[in-house]
Amino acid sequence: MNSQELNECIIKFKKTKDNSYFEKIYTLFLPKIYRFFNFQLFDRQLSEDLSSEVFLKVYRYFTRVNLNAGTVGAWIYKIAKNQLIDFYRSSSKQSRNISLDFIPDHDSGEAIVDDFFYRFIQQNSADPANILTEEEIRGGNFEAANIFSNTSLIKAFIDLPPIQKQVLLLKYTEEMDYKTICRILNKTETAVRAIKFRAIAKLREQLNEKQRSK
Amino acid sequence: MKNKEANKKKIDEKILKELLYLMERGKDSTILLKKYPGSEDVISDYKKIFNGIRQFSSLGPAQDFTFRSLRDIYALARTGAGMDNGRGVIAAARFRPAFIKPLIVFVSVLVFFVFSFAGTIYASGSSVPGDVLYGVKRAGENMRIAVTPYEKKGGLYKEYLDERLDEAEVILNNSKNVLPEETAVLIKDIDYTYGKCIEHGCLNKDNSEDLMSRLSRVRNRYRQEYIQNNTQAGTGNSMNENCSRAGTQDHESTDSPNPADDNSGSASNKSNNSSGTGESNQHNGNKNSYGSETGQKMQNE
Repeated sequence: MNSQELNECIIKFKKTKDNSYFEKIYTLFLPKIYRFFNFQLFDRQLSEDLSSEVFLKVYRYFTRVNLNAGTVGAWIYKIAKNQLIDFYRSSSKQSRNISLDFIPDHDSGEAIVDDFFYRFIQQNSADPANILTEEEIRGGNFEAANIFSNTSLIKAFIDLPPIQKQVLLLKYTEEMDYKTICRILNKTETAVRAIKFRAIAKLREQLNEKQRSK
Repeated sequence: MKNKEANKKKIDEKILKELLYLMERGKDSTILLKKYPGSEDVISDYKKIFNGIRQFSSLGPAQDFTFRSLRDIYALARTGAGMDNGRGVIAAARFRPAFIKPLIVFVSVLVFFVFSFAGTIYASGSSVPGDVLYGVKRAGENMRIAVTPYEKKGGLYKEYLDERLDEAEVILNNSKNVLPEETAVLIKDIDYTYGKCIEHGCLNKDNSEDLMSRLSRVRNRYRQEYIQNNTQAGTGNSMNENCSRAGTQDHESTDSPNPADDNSGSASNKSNNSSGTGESNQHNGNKNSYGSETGQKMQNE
């Protein structure tokens, strides 16, 4: 969907309140918002709940805000970011920011960790035809062409601070422009670039460390 | 060894910086290989990370969730459950530039400090020595003097002399809470301010008669207090000193337009006694003692 079509959708949904236009916007943004949550919480159930809540808000208040194709994504992401902050705040007493399935206990051995990521990848593969086999997921290593077949990148990714995760997700996974990212995170472009730079440098450092320890 | 590692890390970061720069402009990264020989591994590492994060997009929600969630949204929207005014959601659609927030914080902190400082100085206006805010008051005055041009300083000093005399009258009339040292400092300040007034030539006979009379009244009152306190303590030495001080008092009261008579009241007995001994000491000329200096200044004028 290009920006012209998106603009049309926005205007028509506001005018007619026809749900089919909302559904177009919904199907465009739901996977993105779901990923935004899931790559920070690493919990499928929670991510589903939170993204549902975000789109309920979008549906309710869509007619009351002035948006175009350039800003609608930023608005939805901003709601999601606020939702995530609310979630962290409400669950801060339990001091839990990733799923209880995943126990980041280094003594428990790699097996549990690998198992978690195997399930994570399998559960979240949108296209059933693309689901990787267990061997593919476990067998690969950092040098493999498909780095994703190895879980080490996600494992390194988990340790990044939330803001670095968000910048990497928005910039590379969703391939957004800096203007939109700045709007979502309420930061200047220079700040976003600096965060991205630091995040990548840190990721490489951690991946190298893990490789060396193997 | 450590140095080498740090150096390598620096070069790696340089490569990353340039790689990001090239990628954003859609240029080929082969230039980097020429610029940094032996950097193939580093560049391929970075590229793998970029590609890996890009491939995160292959993970998405399950199909059934997409439909289930949509159904739930319609149902909840119809019932209006959990509905609020949506202020936060609507506010999220206003995109302010990122520098606005720090700017607002900075300005409000600045305003807070300026106003609280000004407010403290204002509140300290009626403080006397021994009060918590007295230091603030004096600091404020010093600042005002520092920023006033020379020709206007005289008026300011006169104003402050008036202020000091007010304070002295207050603390000499009810001196329970004030330490004698503080009173001494205040009297010294009075002398200093008086000297400054004379230096700037802002005291003449027309405008300063009232000030002069107050000045001498305060001095006398101070001397009485001082003597009273010391005679109560009852040591010979301090008596001697007091006498000499009292002597200067007499010497001075001949110059100043207003002698001690009108406010001495209850303390007159002791005052008379000491001034009797004082006369004999007067010619010894205790130049260091308080009052003689200002007395001379007055004479000069």
